[in-house]
Amino acid sequence: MPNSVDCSYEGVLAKIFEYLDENLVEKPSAPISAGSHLIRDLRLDSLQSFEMVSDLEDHFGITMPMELFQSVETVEDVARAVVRVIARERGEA
Amino acid sequence: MSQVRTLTASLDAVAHRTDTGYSHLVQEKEPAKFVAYAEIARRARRFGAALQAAGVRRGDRVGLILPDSSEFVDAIFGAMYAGAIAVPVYPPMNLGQFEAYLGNTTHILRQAGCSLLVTDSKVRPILGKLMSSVPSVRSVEVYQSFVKQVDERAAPIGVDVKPEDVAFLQFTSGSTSRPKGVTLTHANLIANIEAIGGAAGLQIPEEAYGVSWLPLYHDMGLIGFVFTPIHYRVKGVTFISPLMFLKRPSVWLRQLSERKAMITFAPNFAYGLATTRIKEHELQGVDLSHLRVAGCGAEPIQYETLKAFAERYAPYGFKRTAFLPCYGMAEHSLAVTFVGLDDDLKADRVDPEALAQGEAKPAADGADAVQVVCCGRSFPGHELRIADADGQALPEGRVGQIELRGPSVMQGYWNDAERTAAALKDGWLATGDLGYLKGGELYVCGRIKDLIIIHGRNYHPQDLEWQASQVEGVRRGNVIAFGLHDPQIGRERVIVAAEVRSPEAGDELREKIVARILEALALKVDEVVLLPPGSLPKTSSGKLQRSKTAELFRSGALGKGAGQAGTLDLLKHLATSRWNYIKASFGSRGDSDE
Repeated sequence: MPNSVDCSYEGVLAKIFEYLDENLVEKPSAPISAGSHLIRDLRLDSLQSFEMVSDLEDHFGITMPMELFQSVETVEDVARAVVRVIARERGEA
Repeated sequence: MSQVRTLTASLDAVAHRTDTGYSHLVQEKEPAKFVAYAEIARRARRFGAALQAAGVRRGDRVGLILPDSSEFVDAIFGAMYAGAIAVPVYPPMNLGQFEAYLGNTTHILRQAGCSLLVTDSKVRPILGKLMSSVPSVRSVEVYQSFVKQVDERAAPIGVDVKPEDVAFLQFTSGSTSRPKGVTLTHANLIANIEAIGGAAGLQIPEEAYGVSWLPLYHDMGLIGFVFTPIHYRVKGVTFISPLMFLKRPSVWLRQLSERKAMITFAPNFAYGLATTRIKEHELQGVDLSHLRVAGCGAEPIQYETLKAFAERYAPYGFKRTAFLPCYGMAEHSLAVTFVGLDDDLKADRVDPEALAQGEAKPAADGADAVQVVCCGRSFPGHELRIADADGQALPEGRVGQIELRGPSVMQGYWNDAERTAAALKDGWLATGDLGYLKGGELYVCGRIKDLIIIHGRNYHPQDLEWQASQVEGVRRGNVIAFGLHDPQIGRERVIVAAEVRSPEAGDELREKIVARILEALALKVDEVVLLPPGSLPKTSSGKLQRSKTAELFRSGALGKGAGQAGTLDLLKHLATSRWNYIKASFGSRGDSDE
């Protein structure tokens, strides 16, 4: 992946926030944070959730495993999963 | 082929083949896992033996929640080998949805009276104390360990599968409403499979290769890609997880290209997704020229969506004649009509007002028009008629309810005599869908049943209404949910109209309703209209009227004076519920007035 991409947890979080800012049609009443629940707070439907993951994959040059979808609930969960995959794909497990 | 009258016999007929079989793409960056037909048969027999060892007898219902497509294939055939009745259930599929999943699953297992449930190690923990809420379930097993209880070469004993045996139950994704279990025998399925693959259908040759990302717990994926290919002894099928498709739609086209696949099917929205979400660099080397059948069904077909796909992928060898619009339903096993194998995509350009009044009249040039996609003809030995509200057959060009009769029609809804009687009369299945015939071909143009279909999946308004009713501030039982077709987005808009106690209730309450329905049903509501008490139309006996509500919404009269910003916004869209005039003549359909 390009060296200029910030692959830290904060960098990933920032990218997720950026994606949500650009793509959420209805802004949630509470500000988006790491603790935001994907369904309860952000009201992402399945298509949007997958599109977001796809966008993150493209940006960070990774492939998220299918198991991801069974365990994430919040923005933080997604960010941590992405960080783990980045580390694994770089061989740093 | 004519000697093979059961699905188990179909598999037996290829059980010696080690060079052909099914492949499963589980992780994007890894090769697909190949399982030969011989291996599928061995594993299925083993699973059947394990069921027998666990005390499962002929006719017992076995729930299957198996996200792994290879395990699912083994298990559904295995249940049939044991003479049991399989009940495939959707596994949890969405981010953050698990709390509501258990309730939905419980209702299905209870209605089916399942004595056993087989799942995998990932889903098992989510099921929690399911057994205590479904008394019939004796145990919840994990597939991998369950089959180890019997020898690798074990097979069920003393089971002679007959064509009239029930093969499986196909349940609607019900949560709070009583889910309906479509009951299909081997005879039903073989009749439909042979219609699909025979001379009047896809004419499936043995060299055929199929690719599918469809969920296997749904008729198009299950009957179309698990049973039909084995019955026709095809070269193979590659199964892609539906989640993988949603995340990375290019996988579908890449697999079609790599496998030189001849056949694929998908709901309308998927073709749209493939057109808009795939980037050029993902299409390097993709060649779709071998694709003979790009089937489209399971939800209303939008001419513009398919046209756009054909245009984008023509440079990649895609031929527009590959499109095969079709009409079908679970209650008719799977397929009802197919367009001709090499026919081009065809739509009837008709006047919308006349159509809403029940007549398919060509639209004048330049005038407002609706493009109704042609869905083709019914199959030999299968009857189709367009009937008015009195059950009288209508001539061509007149819109009425599509009714079906023949060997593919279900036995009924499992353990539900009342709703079976409502759907089946004199062998004629009332589909709840509206259409007209032209030149002997079917044009599906609406529906009178209260059903919402999004991304190929069915949703019952009662389920949305119940969920919304649970939200604090909503007047319980005074909620109406409906779908209105919106040409701008090429699908139905999902609308919930709810009476609320407090006039100050606003965005926060709307958000709660949307979130609740999303969590419980994995369905995103497009619009919530909040109304003062007494706004929703009711019959003289006090029952809510769903169609009338939709009509009021469309004309902007819903909650007039309540000052709903959302309502005004939506009036700008060309949302129409065209069928209210026709619906009125049919009376209320479905469970709306129970």
